[in-house]
Amino acid sequence: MIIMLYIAALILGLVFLAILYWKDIFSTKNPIPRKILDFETAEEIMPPEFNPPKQGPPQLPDCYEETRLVLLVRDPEWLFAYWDIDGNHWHQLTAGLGENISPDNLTLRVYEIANNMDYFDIKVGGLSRDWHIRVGKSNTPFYCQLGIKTCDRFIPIAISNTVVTPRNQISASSDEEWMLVSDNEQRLLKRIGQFPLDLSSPLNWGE
Amino acid sequence: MCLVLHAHLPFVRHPAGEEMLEERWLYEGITETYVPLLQMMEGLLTDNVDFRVTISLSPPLISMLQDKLIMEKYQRHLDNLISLSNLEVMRTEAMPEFNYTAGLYRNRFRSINEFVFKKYGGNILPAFRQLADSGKIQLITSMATHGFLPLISHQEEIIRAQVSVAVNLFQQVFGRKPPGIWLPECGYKPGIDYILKEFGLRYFFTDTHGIMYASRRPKYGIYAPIYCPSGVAAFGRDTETSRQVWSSQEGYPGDPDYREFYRDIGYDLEYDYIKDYLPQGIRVDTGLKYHRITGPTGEKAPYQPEWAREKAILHAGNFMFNRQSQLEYLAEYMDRKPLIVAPYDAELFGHWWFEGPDFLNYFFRKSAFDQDTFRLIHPSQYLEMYPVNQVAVPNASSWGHKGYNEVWLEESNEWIYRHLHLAGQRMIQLASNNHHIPSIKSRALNQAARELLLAQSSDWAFIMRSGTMVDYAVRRTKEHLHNFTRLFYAINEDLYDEAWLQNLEKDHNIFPNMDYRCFAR
Repeated sequence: MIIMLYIAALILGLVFLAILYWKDIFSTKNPIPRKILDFETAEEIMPPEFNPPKQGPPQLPDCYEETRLVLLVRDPEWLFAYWDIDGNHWHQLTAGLGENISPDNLTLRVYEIANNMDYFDIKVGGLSRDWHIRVGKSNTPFYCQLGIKTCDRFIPIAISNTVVTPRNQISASSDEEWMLVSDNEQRLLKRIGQFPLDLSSPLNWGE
Repeated sequence: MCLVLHAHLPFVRHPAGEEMLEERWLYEGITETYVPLLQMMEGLLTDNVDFRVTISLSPPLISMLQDKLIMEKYQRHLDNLISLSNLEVMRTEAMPEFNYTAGLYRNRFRSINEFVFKKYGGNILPAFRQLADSGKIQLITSMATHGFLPLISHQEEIIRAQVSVAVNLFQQVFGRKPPGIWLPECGYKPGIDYILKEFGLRYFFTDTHGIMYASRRPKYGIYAPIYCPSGVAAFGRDTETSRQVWSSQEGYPGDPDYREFYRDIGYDLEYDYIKDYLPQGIRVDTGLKYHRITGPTGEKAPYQPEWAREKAILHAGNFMFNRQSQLEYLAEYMDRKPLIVAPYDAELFGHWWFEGPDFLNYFFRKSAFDQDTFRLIHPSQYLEMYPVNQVAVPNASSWGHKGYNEVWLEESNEWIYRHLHLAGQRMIQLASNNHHIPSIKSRALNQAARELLLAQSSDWAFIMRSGTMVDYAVRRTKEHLHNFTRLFYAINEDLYDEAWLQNLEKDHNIFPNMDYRCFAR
């Protein structure tokens, strides 16, 4: 009987302790997995996102009413182009072309600026307004034209700026050029100052 | 050897009544990186240790550090931290494995408070200035709003504006012209250097492949700078030195004895206990962390400050020894003294890697007294020693993931450029066509310039890609562009909403001496 009381008291005691330290026993926090700094720049100091803005940000227009084509470099083998087409401009251009012309004919023609001016076409269609272009050639200048491509011709609408893809290997050119950059040269030049070119030569002294 | 620390945070300033989580970036930067570094360097100065480090302070960071409203908010934040650390010391009284660390934090926060508000009256920029005056640090600038030039510079004038605003601010704050500049993310495109030259900037930095893949093979590799055809010098980052510190696998910061970043009491402790110290009750990092890395995963053991300190000493010695061997080896193959350039984000030291400032402290001291193989110097000193350098056009490159522009031009962020470029074009137009007459028009023009610059910050595109705080970055981009566009139309129509303009000027008050003509053709 007494033993049973003892056991009961022990159990009650354990339960009591368990209640007191419940949280410590059962809610061991899993440490947040370590983020790997997988690129060479430091991430910005960033607490997690919780602050909901009071109202949504202002909307920017999807596109602008002016015709333009801009080319950007992404890396040695990829470019990125975006464009806008002014609605009036589109109508003017396509008015005389017939019913077959639709925005689906929109094509990006990418030129490699070299002797041949080789190019390739990408059918971008009317729904896109930008495109990632794989040119596959480092250290090469490119530009592109956005136009309407029909079976027999290509009518340009916009021409882009020129870009050059960066190198992805050491240059083959090993000829060396050296430069001196120092303030000393400037000081010397200042000292010499202006020198007239028609100063008499010793040969003229007698005259 | 040239050690470069690039300190930058995006310009975040919200009105007095608002409390935004993003403001904490600056508070953490000051508490965990900038003040510890300053205190460490002042200590070196007092102890007559000869050291050299080049420090770039970005204009947005400078602007925030001298903003009264922001520093007042920081004071409150720091007071909060001191109070929390007092509470922590009490809470951990019976936990010896944590109590000592809690005491350390309390002392730290008090010391930072003394430093920032008693010694420097709430503005720590003079501390940088004094160190620069001593010659131990060389201060350089970065772009006005840390714009990633290869992608935003569709027009040359954009580069000029970013550079000129930065140089003007630097001159105002530090009373001298910056000798060099840190290109944001080391983002270089041929041609940028001509504009740097216009402002008397003598050098900049690129990633390793910016030099190695230059238009001509660099005779000295990255162990000497090259000159761009413009005469501006380009210094390339040394990968070997970077890896020892940056690498998450092999780098020092991953050592098991160092403090674990991801065990902060803001998350670990009982909500009821900590909620008063959390902004709007949201769990965030407080800066009080009690665990060490211990291992790659699993349980984290309590932080032992003494063990961490010993490790920092060990690593500093190791880092120095490795630089000695590296330079000894290189010197054998070069007909001039080789240079190692080691640039890092300043925030690595102290914020991400808690023991970072200590590591630097020991490294500087050991380098000064325990060896004579190499010297720490500033980039301009190397150019003085070797004014003749090889000419080549550096390769367009960056130090971002994969080495080019991909980080800032991908699915999440490529949409911004059509807006940024058009806004740039419009700003150039406005600046070129409007004579400066002090009036509401010139105020609008100046504010338009500010809004555009703020939209051009590379941080937004970076954050969008990183996937955290994306909404904030998108909002900032859209708001600034929207404000710019509205101002553009107002200026063209000569119709102004003065109250709205005044509000903008008050809240987005970066560059108070802005002159929009920096964008003119």
